[in-house]
Amino acid sequence: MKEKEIDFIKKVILDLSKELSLKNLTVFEYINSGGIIKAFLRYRFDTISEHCEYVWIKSNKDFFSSIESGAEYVTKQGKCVFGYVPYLFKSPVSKEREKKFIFRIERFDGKKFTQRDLKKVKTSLEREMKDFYLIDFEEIKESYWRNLNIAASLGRIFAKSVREKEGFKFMMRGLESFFGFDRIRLYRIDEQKNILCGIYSIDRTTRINDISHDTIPMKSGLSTLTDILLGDEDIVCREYIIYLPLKIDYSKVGMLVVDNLLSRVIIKKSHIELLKSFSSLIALAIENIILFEKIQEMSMYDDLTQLPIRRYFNQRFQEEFYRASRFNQRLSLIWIDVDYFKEINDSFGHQVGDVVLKEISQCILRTIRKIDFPCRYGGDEIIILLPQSGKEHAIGLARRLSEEIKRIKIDVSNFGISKDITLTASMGISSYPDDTKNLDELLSRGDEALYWVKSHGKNGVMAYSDIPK
Amino acid sequence: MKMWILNDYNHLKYSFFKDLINDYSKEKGVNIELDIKSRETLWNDIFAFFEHPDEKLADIIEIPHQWTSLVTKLGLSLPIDLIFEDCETLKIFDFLKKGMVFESTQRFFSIPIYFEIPALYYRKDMLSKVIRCEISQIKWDDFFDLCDKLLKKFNKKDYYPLDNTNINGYITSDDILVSVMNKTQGYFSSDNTSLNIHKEEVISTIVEYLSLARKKYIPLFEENFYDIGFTKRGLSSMAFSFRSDLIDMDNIGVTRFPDIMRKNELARSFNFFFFSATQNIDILKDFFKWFYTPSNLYKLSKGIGTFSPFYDELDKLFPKKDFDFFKSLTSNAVMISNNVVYPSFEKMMDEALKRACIKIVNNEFDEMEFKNNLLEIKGLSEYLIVSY
Repeated sequence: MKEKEIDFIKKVILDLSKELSLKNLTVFEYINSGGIIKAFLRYRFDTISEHCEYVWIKSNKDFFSSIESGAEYVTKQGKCVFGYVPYLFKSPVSKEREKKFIFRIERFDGKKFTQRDLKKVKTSLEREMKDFYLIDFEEIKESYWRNLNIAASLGRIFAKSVREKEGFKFMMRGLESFFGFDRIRLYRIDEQKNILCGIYSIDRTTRINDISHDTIPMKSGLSTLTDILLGDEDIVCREYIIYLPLKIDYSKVGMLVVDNLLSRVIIKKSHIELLKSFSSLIALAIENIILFEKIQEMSMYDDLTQLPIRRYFNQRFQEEFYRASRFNQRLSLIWIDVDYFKEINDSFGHQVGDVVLKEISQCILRTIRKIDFPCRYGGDEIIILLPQSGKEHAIGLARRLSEEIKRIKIDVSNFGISKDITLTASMGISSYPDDTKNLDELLSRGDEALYWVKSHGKNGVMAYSDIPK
Repeated sequence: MKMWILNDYNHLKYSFFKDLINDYSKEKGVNIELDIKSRETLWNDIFAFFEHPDEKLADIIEIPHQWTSLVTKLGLSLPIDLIFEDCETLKIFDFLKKGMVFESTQRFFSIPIYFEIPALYYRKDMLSKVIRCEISQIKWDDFFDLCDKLLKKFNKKDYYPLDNTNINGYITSDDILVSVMNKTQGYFSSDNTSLNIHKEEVISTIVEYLSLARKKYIPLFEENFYDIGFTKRGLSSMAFSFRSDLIDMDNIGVTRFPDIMRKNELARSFNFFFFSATQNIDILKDFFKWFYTPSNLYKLSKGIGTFSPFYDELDKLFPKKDFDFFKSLTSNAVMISNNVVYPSFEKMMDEALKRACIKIVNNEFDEMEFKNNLLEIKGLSEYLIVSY
């Protein structure tokens, strides 16, 4: 029974009780399976309570007769006297919505109800229930406007999601707020690796979880998700779960899985239809977000050296500096300047200069830890950010790098010089919190240390705190 | 302000709350709207709220204690200390606290208004005609023999040795849980990470419990209230009941749920939680301080045959002759699990049991099909445990 139907019948009970001075009444609905009837509302001592009691009508001939014949009956059990008044509701909307009710008037003093009492109840009931069908129409109307609103809003959300910084999260929040599923999971197909990988999941509290650890090879027989994706179906609906393959034309890009497994609330047909009609739009939004993220990522890296650019470094530097000060950790910087880079450029041209920068960047990427963050700061200047590292670690790394750089050989035979040129670099180090507790000063002190090396013969490593005063 | 309470077969619960609200309204001039929900409609309302957030839930809502973790996880419940500052110092039974928190944390998100412990109530006059030994010594296996003897002795129309006191008319997961506790700690493992319902001893216990209905020892889908109660009419000789209201009858004895080997007693409480989006925090604070007193909860429990959460009230609730027995029940009580997944598990389990009971009355029960249902429920519940 729907909440609105229950509210309607509650009102009917109150009206009946006033009009006919009824003290006790129970309303049953016939459930069309196994011969069970359910008491769902009870009226006693001026109080209506929602109820949930099942009765097997075959064991109870009063119910059985009443349901079968549609006629009113009176029975007595000890001092309990019951009058059964059946009411059949035929919905103008669909036959599935037909309902058989029994309104049972009750007395516990042993006094009998007469057939006249029951007729009165029947007449009043028919009058009171005549507008019951309107609930169906109201619901259709409400559902129509709601779905129209959802459709319009979701269209906007999918279009906008590509411009949001976190497009996927934006899209997931939009879906959850309109449908209110227990959980929505979004997967995308990684064509290169031939796997289905999770992106995010969201629950009713709109908490978003990263599910990128959830990866499934795109082979049949490994999981329901991949089996469905490899099949031909546009949508697969189980009682509490829907699998929606996301396609652009005939190409599959991912999968949306929504479920109500926790709440055990059956997913509405109208929601299934809406999701189905939006599947290609969701797929398009996913593809756009992925492309957008790729472009964004590419714009953060230097084409030549493949190192992050200064803008990206500044953002990361602030985050790491905040983390270091918040959690009392150390943080160091290494400034690197390629020695005689201008001379190399002038003598052999920019092409050789580019090779030098490429080789040095590769050397840096090979030598540093995963958590270190290098950046092409400008020209031939490179900075490496070393989270959770003090001066000693930074000096050690700089010396190792210095040795590695010396091993690089650049072929300049095109210029008639048979011998390869070798490279050296100057490096300056500053550390938080020993050298300073200020973000800008940490950069400038590293630069000061680098300047000291460059003005004292180059090809060396100097920490700011070790500069002779 | 709105209050939703759960439906009950005992109408005194409704009159208690109606009177309470009237008294508060007269004293403080605050109107409280009372609605009585079935578990089913309350569950639907809770989840419908996420689709229609404009249709707010009530400010105070009664739930079975095992829903506490779920409503907290869904962000629907306020920490109790925001409404009731003294909640840590309340003189309530210690075991109840497991039903007040979010999973294994310490902070309270619901507060009990009464609790229940199942026991076996029996008509001394009828039992004395078939057994000579003390029924308190009876084991679960012998219990079936006793039912059989009673059925043969009182061979009349509509007679069942055991009354079905469950308001729903069928056998629910709560009813069977005590019996499961004779074999293992419950449906869930002690760390709540897996389920026990695939174990042979648990499956056989559940099937065995259902055989009480299959052998016609207990009625299914029969109305059971007022004068038409089976025990009261002499149409049943015993009843497993979570409530103690039968002790008011003449000739009634009470003992533990059969099996003398079981160490613990099952307990379940019914708790209030406060809706996190309430606009009436100050009224809630005032109302709750006014309402949550030992005398009010004693009155409620006395009226409907349950236990008050306040341990000092225990001796007032029960007749002297039975006090030691009920005290011993509370001293070994353990609560039904309170984890995020339990209510969904319970819903699946009750649905499966309802289907099984419908098949039993229609003589269509298929044991294999039922066992497969249990395995499906285990799989789904464990999937939910991992997911949530």
